[in-house]
Amino acid sequence: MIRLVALACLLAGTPDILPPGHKGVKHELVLHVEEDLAAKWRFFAAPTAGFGVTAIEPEKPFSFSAKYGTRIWAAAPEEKPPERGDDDWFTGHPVANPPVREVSSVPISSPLARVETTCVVRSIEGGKITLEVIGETRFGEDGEPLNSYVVYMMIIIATIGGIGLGVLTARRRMQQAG
Amino acid sequence: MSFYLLLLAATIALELPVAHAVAPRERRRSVVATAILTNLLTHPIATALHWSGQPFLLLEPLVILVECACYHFAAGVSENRALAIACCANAVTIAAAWMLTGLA
Repeated sequence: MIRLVALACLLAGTPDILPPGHKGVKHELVLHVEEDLAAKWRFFAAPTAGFGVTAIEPEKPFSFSAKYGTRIWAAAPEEKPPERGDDDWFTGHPVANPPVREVSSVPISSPLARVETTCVVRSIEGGKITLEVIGETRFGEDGEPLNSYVVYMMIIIATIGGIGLGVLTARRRMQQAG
Repeated sequence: MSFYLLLLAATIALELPVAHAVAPRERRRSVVATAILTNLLTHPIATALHWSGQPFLLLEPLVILVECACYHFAAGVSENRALAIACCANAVTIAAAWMLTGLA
């Protein structure tokens, strides 16, 4: 018995039932900007740790990274942001942290390949951009959105298994009682 | 979806012979039936939890315990034998999973 428990503990430290390991997932943001704000502001993404400024086109996905601390900045339409990091420029403009928890990796067996989170710009006041998440779409390896029928199928399979085990247990008890 | 069904089918196909071999002779049929139903119960739940970020370290002991309980209560084998079946069956799928990852 002790050996079996020890074996169970040993097995507990290693993956089972599914291939071990993780794979990378591309997580992108889409910015939705109302017309009145779009007329007054342009938006840029820049990392706090690293270089490079990306102009954000509303409704088009752009990459962000929690690791490099990507933040979103707003500037007047006529302004041109620096191509590389420029602290003076950044401190004088409205900014927001994306209100999104980045999905960077998933188990290797997961069908997920890409996540697209849509945020809307609610307001720009006092040097702060207020963003709100309004939607998230998850895509599979084929580039198509993942459907919830996979989850329903798994629920149905588990239910069949549970009911079957219940029937087996009940039959065995009836046989024992009889 | 097809990849998930493939994993489920592979798990059942690997665990059935092991469960059959480790089961006591007089209980083999019920152990095999229990092995199929147990995997139908635990595999999708464990997979869904794993996809949502739960680590194997947490899931694996639970899977073994649930399978052990299933073999004991549904197939009527002793606790020790139930644990042996659960451990051996999972050991085979562990090895297969590692091989699959190594080949990929």
